Amino acid sequence: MTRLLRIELRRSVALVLFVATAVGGTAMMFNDTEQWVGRWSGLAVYLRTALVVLVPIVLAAAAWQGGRERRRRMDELLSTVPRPRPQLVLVRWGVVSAGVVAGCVVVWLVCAAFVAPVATYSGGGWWWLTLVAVVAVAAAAAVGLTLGQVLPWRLAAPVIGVAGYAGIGLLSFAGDSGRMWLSPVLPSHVVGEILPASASALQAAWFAGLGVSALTLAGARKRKVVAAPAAMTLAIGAVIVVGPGDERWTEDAAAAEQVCTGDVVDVCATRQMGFLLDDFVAATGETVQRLSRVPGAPRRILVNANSEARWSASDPVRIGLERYVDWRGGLSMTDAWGYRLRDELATAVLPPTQGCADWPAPDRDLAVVSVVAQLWAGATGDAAGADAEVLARYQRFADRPEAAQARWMQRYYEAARNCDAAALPALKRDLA
Amino acid sequence: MTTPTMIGTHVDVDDLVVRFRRRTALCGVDLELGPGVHGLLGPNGAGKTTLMRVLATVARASSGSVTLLDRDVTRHTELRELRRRLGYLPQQFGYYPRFTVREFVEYFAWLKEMPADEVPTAVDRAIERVGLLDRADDRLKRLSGGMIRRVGIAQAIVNDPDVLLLDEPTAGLDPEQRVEFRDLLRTVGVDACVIVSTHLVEDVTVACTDVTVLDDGRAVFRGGPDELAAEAGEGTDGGDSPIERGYTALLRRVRAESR
Repeated sequence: MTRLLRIELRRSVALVLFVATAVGGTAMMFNDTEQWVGRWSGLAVYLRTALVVLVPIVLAAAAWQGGRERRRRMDELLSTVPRPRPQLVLVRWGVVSAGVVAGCVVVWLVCAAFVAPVATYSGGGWWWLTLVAVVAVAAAAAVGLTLGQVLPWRLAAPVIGVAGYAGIGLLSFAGDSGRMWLSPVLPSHVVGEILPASASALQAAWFAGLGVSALTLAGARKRKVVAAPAAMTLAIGAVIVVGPGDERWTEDAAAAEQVCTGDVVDVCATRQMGFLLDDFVAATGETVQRLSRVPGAPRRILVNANSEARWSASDPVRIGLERYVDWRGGLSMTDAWGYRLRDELATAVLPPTQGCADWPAPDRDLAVVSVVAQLWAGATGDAAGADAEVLARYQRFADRPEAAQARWMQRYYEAARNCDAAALPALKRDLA
Repeated sequence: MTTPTMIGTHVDVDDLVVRFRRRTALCGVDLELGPGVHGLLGPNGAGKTTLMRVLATVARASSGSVTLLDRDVTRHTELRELRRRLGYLPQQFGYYPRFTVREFVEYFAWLKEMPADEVPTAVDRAIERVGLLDRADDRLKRLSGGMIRRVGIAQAIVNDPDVLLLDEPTAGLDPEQRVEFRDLLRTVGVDACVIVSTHLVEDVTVACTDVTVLDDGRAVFRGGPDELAAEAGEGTDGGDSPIERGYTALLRRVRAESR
């Protein structure tokens, strides 16, 4: 038996599937590293996202394997052997599944090497999500194998692959309903949310049912024996479909717990994004130091995954860093679209004035006040909209003693927070 | 492998009828075969392959009974044990081109449920008997048509079957290989019942102990090769050898009688 498995592993599609899964899956994962680097649950969720491509590949490859007998005109000879057909089907399914699961394990191990050294949170039930991925690809292997065996077309394999891709797309991305959970892909995940183990168990049962039904159909002498597993699988599917959609996700309170550092100004991170805290403190230390000297400036900055950078008078200033995670789990100063972290921080730590009715943003003469404030908070000249003249004026301001800068910024904070446009001429005058 | 020795009748076919929709492929065939090499002759469409497929447990009889090795082939509970003792080379022999010769024969040893510890020896022996030991590790896609046919024979004999069914086994073999193949048949036929379906009459003359001629789904002759040759009367044409002339004369007579 061992020798036979070795032969089939070498001579079937298993080896090709292993390479395709390992290379394709790794390429997909590294196309979007900011989604998962440093986070175990991020890795599990994104691995499930990668199944949108991997499952159709498995379906097509398994269908090709399933059609091998007919393609090679072996069906007559194989119908004369004593070995029960279910054993033959199990061996074929076993080697195809082994190929794809081994490929997924390689993808996971490669990615885990970029998560393990930096991850600060290992909760979130990520192993459940990963386990369901394994069950899903094994089920896809069974379904593909059976369809390839049943459908007598030369082009069955690619057609099944494309149909699988379309089917997963329809289930996963066609709105918020229970049927999205029939798909192996997790399209609506938000960092910091967790899928209860019961929901994963339901999905695992659905995929296992699909696999068992398919294998029964492929291996049974009488097709009616597939009725029992198929009925059970349909029942599980019905329970999933009538259940909630996005609402299955719940908040992961442990992941949202904060770890903080700092003195006058606390810089905090959720446990899940805690691996970026040191890099963030190092990158923004100068701005944080300046803030600590200004009465009325924010006293708490919270780093999380993907919240919009925003000011809040009472809450901590929030800044989402997922876009700034580099592929090694460090902090990048710019994101994929060229936005700069220091610009985003400057926006977050200053009170917004867009909502102030008479704050003279278009008035270039008075707008210089806001520009200088942004430059002081760390923004780059481009982002702040500073020309050479304003930059020169800011340089003179920055050359003043720290206490003088802090007093001016304190007045700016009060004016901006109160939408006090009348204070702008005096602030501008003091810049001279 | 300990081969069960079968004494007496290996194949017992009684009033066998096989119909495919409205066409009758076999009509009331009777056959009783023991150990030895038995030839199955007949023109194209006579029902040779259908009979081989019924004996190989691929096709089902519409009526009549087929007993192999004292087991009724229609009884599902007996099929598994029966198939362990069968060897079959179909007319259209399919194969997996990426497999090596050894892997392919080994695969069939597993399919035939041979004890694992006997497989390596049995595989090497089967490959040696068909003269492919020096090509055992070559992939099938690199072999010629004749060699592929020999691989087919190797998979059929790997389990030392008690009933060996070979449908057109010499197709694609060169003259030297055919001579070697006939020697192999004679060796296997000492203990086992070997049925060779062919339209190469000379194979029957040299290798078979007896011959059955099928025509239009009926067994029209059963006897030794000499008896078939004797069917040719004085001045019979239509053949280069006595048995070919006998075969031709038999078919002409049968067809004339049935008109």
